[in-house]
Amino acid sequence: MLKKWRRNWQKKRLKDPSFQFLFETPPDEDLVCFDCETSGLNPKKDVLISLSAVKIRGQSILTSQALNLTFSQAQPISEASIKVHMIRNQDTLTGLPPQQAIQQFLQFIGSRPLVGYYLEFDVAMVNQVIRPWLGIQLPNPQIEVSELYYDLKFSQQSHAIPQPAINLSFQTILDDLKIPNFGQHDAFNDALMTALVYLKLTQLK
Amino acid sequence: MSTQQALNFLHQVSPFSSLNDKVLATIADAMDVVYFALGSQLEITQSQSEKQNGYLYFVIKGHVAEYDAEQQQRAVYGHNTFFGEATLLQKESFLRYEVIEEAILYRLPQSVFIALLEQPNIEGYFVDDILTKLNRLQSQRQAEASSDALMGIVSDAPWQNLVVVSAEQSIRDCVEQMHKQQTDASVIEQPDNEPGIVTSIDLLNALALNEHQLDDAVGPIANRPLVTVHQLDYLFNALLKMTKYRVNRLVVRSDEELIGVLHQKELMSVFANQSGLAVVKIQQAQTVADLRAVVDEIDRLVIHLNNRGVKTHYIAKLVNELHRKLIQKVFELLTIDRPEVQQGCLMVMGSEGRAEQVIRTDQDNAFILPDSVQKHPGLGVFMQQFSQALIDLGFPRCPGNIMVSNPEWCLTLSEFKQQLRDWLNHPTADTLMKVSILFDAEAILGDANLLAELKQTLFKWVAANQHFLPHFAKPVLMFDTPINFFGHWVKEKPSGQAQIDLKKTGIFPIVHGVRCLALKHGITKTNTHWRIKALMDMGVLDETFGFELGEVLNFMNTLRLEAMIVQLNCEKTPDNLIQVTQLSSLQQDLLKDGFKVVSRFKQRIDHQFKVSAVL
Repeated sequence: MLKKWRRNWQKKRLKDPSFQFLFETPPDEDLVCFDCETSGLNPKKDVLISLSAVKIRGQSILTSQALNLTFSQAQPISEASIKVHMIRNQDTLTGLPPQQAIQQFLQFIGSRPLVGYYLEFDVAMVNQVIRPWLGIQLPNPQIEVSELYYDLKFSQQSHAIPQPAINLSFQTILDDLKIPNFGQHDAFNDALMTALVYLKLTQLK
Repeated sequence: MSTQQALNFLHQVSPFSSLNDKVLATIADAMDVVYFALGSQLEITQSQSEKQNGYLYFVIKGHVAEYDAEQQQRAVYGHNTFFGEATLLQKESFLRYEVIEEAILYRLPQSVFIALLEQPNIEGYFVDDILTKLNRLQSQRQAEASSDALMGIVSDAPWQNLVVVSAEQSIRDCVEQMHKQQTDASVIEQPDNEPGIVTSIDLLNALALNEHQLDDAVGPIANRPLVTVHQLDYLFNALLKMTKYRVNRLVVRSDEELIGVLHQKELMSVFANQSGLAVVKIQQAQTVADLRAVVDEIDRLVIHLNNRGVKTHYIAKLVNELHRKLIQKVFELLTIDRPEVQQGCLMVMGSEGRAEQVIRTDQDNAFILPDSVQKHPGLGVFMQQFSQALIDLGFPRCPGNIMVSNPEWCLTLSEFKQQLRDWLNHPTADTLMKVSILFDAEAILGDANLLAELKQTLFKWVAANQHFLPHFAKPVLMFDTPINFFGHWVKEKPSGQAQIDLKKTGIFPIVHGVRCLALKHGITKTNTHWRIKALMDMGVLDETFGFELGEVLNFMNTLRLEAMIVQLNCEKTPDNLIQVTQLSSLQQDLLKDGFKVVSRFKQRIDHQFKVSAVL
């Protein structure tokens, strides 16, 4: 009820009618898993550097149609941040301006549900670009894989006393679910591994 | 980026790993990741493949069991294997797969897989029957084995014992000795210390046809000069000598003396299957089209020898000898009914003349007619045909049009001399380059004296006009060495990529500097390594520096060759740029040291020819 109201309210605030499709019924059953690399961990002041998204259709991950975006940077990326994601300033020279890149992203996701790990942060980063531009936040349903994982662990351990803490770090989840390592943690590989986590968790049930 | 891990994966899966990166990238781009929980079922039926919506699956992780229509388990697939091809190729109509350990797979659409079958390696793997597959494997092994054998040394091959008799001894003595040692040739010591050789055929002919008597001295029958090979020389050099001098035997020598006889028969027995050898194929070719396959084979040989760590100098030597044989053969095939052309001298020039071209980048060739022969009106047309035939075979057109098809490079001897004098008297960048190219020429067919005479004209002119050499040497100093005062790289950065032009900054100064010294000192050898050796023998270069220069040249040529092979694999046109960042740190250090040697050499050239005075 509240959701529906929020949705309608957002729809009314949409500044550009060509993005109506974000509020329509999804064209298919696909989900979109995405991940981004940023200049830091504060969605208020840090910016997007790269973003990758893949569609999940049934039990396959459509890596052949993946979306990979690099963002051009107004400010040089800090050394500390470069060391985390290994994207140098040089690598962003061919990047797109944020608005143009996010437009591609919105076309890609449509109104499909989003899947991610600590999705809240990634969505906030995208909202940072679209709020001033379209007047809305991403209206898509969101599926948080760390929650799915927590539910699984909790159901397995719910009889234990005292209740153990469940480690929700990405690496722990990958190790525990025996997801193969696809190499360097970049946006694409993380999106792919998150999608695998999602598939595995939903199939286990 | 997105496809990098898929690309890495494919690199580990045969036969896909044999494809070049460009093709692999298109496969990687088309692959999706699929997840199957434990116990999932997957059916692949013919109707799917007929509708073009089948897939080839690669196992990233987990295990998948394959069952046929009778529910018999036929195979289990694990990490780095693939399945599904049998139905895609319509060899099976129905297969069922069961996930026996939860699996993550890559999935490649049928259309992409079918398109791949156009690649010979892939087609061979999937389509050939088992017999063809085994033959393919066999021929691959043979190719490897024959290049192994090529890199063996002479002492590895079986020789015949050495028989030496003196010139005054009788034919009877000689035959007895040969019989005792079970050999069919004997070295004949001559009074002038230039030994010769007689073979059993020579002896038979002498006795039966030329009316020699058994008691006659053997000396006059002997053939000279004696063609020898060092016991530590490579077998391919032995083979090249045999083909070059058209002899069946080489006398093997150590540092001190003659020690045995290497027969072509025995040499060939080392090369298990001779048909794999390019030389033999060139000799057997009946038409120009037959040679096409040999050209490809030579290219593969280059890659193979380089992979085995053979020095680029030796690869170049082998490849150039093969290329020359090839050009000779083309010329012979085209001139069968043109006796008037056969009296001239065909020569290769530039890097081909120096025997330093490994990957065919261009053709530089010319033709000299003796003055006694009238220029035939059809000559020009024939030369056009000849150049075109070489282009068709994969010797690219020379960008400067330095080919026999250009009338400037197809002249009588006196016309050539006149043209050379014109060039020398009016030196421009263009004419100096032509003089360089001509100076590197080697005759490959016909009367080599014509070229020798032309070069003598050059030497005489240069000796009489000492002011010429400083101008000629100028280009040595033209390009700066890419190392600065502090020993750091100075890089060309057209696109932000750190790269250096190895040919311009390293190889060219050495080659041209050595060429200038050779021109000054009248050295007729054309290969840069031989020129360096000749200069060392004359005392112009000291031993240590000469060896350093040769090794640096070798190293730089190897780097250049490797970069070119990589480019060819990516189906790019090879250039001379080296990405410094892609070299190992050891290679970078060696290269820096190499450039220091180049700098020192440039200073010597500058000093010797007073180049700075004319800059």
